[in-house]
Amino acid sequence: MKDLLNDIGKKMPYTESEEYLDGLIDRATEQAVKQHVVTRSRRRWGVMVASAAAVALLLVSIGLTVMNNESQRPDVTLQTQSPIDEFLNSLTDEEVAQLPYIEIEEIPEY
Amino acid sequence: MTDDKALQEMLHDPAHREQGFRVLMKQYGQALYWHIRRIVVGHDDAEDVMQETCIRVLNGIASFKGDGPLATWLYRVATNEALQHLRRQTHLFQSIDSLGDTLTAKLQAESSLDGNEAAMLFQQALLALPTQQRIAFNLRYYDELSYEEIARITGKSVNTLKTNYHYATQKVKSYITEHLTR
Repeated sequence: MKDLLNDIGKKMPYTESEEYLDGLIDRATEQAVKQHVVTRSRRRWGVMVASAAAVALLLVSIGLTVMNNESQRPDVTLQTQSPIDEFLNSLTDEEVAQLPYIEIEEIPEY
Repeated sequence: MTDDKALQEMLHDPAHREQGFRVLMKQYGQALYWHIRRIVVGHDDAEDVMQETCIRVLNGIASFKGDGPLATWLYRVATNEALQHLRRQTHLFQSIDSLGDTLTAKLQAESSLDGNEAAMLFQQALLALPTQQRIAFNLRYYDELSYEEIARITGKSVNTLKTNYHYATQKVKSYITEHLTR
């Protein structure tokens, strides 16, 4: 076995020229660099798109929260006007006629 | 030859990574090619795997922690890519160890006509080995790596590798003896 191995050495039954090997390695190296640049820019784009999506989601959620709060806010106008409306509606026409009539100019300015 | 530490520093610096990668491939490209070729045998297969290996190396270099020599890491990436390539040639539930005949056919098709007959027989004997034994044998015999280095590449223990190498040698010996006496 040892003799046979010595006879064969590290020879392979097939060979490739130095030029072919150098060319292959150069091509593979440059292709890998090109691919790496593409992968990097794709990754950067991915991060940008994800960030933009996160910001948009944040804005939408803020908008929805504001709208939700608006609809749950007590109707101040209704509450302040309602007793007056009720009072006026409860008056008869005669009672309304008896109410003191004040011109707008007569109201003093503060 | 750029020293391993300087090369690692270049590769970990994003501004010099591509330059470092080119130096790395100039230094180890041929050794990697022949390691891959011995596993996948075919000329075109070796070219494809070499390309994939380069891409993997450049994309994964940032994750290389420098806990061992660069060469063993490169061999590991190349071995994994070559095994992946062999796996793609198998059918469902078929082991890559059953590709021996396919690889032998490739070997015969690609060997030069004036090739050494003994070298051919020796390669055929190697292709009859289980893939992991064949890889361990190649790394020890052709690349002259230590068992510790082979262990880092293959993820096997040193003792397992020693046993693998011993069995591989025995099997190659009996294969050659059997075929020489025919």
